[in-house]
Amino acid sequence: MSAMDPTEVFRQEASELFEVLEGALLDLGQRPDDRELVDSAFRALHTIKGSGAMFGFDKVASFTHEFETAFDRVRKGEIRPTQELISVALAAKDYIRALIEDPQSTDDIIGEAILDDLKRFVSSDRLEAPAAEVAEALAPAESKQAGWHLYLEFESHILRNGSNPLDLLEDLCKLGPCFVVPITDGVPFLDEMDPEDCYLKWDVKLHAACDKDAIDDVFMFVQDEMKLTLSPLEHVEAPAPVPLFQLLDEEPMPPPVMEKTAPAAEVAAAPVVDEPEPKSEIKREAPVRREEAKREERGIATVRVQAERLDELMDRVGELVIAQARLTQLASAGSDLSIKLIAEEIERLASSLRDTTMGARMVPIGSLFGRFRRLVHDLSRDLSKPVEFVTSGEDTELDKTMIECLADPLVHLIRNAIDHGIEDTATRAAAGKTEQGRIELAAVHSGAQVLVTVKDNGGGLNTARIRAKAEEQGLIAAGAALTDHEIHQFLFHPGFSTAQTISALSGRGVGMDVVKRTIENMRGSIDLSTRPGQGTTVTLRLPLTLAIIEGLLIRVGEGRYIIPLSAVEECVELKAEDERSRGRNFLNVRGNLVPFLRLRELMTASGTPDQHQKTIIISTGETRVGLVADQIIGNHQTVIKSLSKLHSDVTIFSGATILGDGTAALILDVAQLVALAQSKVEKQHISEAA
Amino acid sequence: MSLNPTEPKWSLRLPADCSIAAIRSVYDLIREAFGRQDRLEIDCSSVDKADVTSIQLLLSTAKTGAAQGRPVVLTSFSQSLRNTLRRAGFASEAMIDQHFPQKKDGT
Repeated sequence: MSAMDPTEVFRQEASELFEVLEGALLDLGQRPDDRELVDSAFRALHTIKGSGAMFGFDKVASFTHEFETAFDRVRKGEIRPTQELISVALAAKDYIRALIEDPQSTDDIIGEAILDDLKRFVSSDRLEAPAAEVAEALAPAESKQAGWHLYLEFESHILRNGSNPLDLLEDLCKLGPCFVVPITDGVPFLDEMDPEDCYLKWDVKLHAACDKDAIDDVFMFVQDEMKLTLSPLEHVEAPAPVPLFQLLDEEPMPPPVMEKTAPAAEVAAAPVVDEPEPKSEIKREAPVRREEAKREERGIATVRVQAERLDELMDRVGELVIAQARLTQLASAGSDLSIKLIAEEIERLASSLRDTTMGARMVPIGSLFGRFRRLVHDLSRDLSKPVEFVTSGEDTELDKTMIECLADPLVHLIRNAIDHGIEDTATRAAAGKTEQGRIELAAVHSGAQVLVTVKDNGGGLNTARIRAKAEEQGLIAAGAALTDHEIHQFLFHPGFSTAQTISALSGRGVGMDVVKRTIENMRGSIDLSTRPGQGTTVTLRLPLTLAIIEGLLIRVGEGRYIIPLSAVEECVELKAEDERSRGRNFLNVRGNLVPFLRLRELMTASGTPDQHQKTIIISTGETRVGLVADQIIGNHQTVIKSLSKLHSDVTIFSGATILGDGTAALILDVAQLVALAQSKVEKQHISEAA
Repeated sequence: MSLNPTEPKWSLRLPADCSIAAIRSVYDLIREAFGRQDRLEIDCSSVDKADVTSIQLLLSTAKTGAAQGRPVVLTSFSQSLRNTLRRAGFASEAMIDQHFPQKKDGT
């Protein structure tokens, strides 16, 4: 195990900061008056800038600095963050991301164009309030005076996270003439120092009648990591002090009288003799905010782990579960009680370790949802369809592999919902709807599954057109009796629908076959429901994990198979009358007819069937199918192993597992079996009709 | 403050990057030099990147030298280092002299 490359650490941290920045910018588009969002965006920018400079990403640092400067008027409340401005800011964010992740793909000209746009927006888009009013708002009368006396002490780690006290001092000096005196007594001897810690402190006299908030603004990004003591200066010394930072590139300035004669530390510590002691000193330590407390908690409670290590751990746990199953089988075959006790203990521990490891791989789905906000924002702009994007259930956890696999299907679904589902504003207005469409993305736990829904309030599916298209393509006979639900399933047929062949109102289907295949590969299912004129809901049912599942072990002939337990509804015995229904393959389950598949026939099992055959009723969504097996062996913790490419055309199996005796068992693909049963039923219908 | 050491000394030229990105290696360099010689002359002419950490390291070196009776002399401050010192509040030559034992060029 090797330590991570610091540059890689920066990239990862920057990636998280980009999410924060993007989220804040998108929210700002909705809530332009929310100061906390502006501050949040600035904190992210500031950290990216500082860290970028620290890790040698000079271009990132300089571009971000320009971005910060241009956006500064938003922070000061001088301009409103309009949608256009947010779009340019998002483009700037994308450019910084590219500078970090793939610098070769970036072009300085693009960067400059983005900055020009940004500057153009911030210089043209003024608040409507008169300048005097703005100035008044920025500087309440209550705190106007000759200036401020500040004492600055930063936490020792502040330099490590990219903050630069010298930049802050420079910003402070922009407020007015400053006398900055460094306090050096905290600098330790060489042997005692950590060269990356901050030991210097500063005593500053700011001779400007600025508001206290203006000073707070300078330190807003580090206010939790510093001690700032502020006290008002009653009057300005004469002669007026020379502004420090105007002289940086000039010849050395003559030393100010005050600092010349006394060591810096003494000056800072001594009372200021030529100024009356302030009547009430405002001591403001950074408030211990809830976020800080939470961050500290997180700092102690969380460790960043590389994803592949978690995968490796899961593999090891899988092997352990298989070994434990073998041990259990051996122990149960023998008569040694102590071995049986140990086997049981190991089974319990392995089961608990499996749950803990799977828990460690769980990631809140919110990390995925965040990405779609940008997609909706951009599509909404490009298609000129105002869309409200609402998410819920962000805390719902899914295995990290599932989260990764889910991204593309959701992009397809959301893109379809905006492109084809939500009507244009004129159509919506004519239908008596609000001009702004609505897309809801939600996640919720449902037993051992997670349901992810994409719901729009658009025009809904045009069932008649889908039917017409299916008939045109020869997928169904003209006039065949099908339910709306069955007709909608054609949308998942490869190449069924494109924007050219189906009207904009009913153009679902673009990429839907890909979505369905991806979801089924994840052992999930997809369901559509629609109401004309009111919208469409797509529901994805997903297992919690792809690594280990609870399975039902069955025997068919000599072979053993696993059915994912989450798909099993019930097990019933195949009755004689059902046996006699050979050729029709329907079970009567409490009055409901359920089609069934004889697995012996499907697997071409040899030998005589068991006398009392069992039927396992499985379901995907609303569809139920029975699977007839010789024997139900019982529950089995199933460590899923992928099938080789040689078996990729065998669609009814989704993987394999190793049983306690070391033999392999195939895992049945529930969705494929249901589809197979349905097609058999359809064929039966057609042959009966003929 | 300027010194004109006559005793044998060990001269150390600081690298161009003395910012936080490289300060740990500069720190090791100075400590190693300190371990070898009684007197230390540090040439600051090549310093191109400096920040708070560079200033603190030079302050600490001077402080440690003074405490151990092993004079440390800084020479040829680059413009970049000088600017950083001024930004940190070491605004005058007198202040810089006060905190950093310098040997002026040509002295």
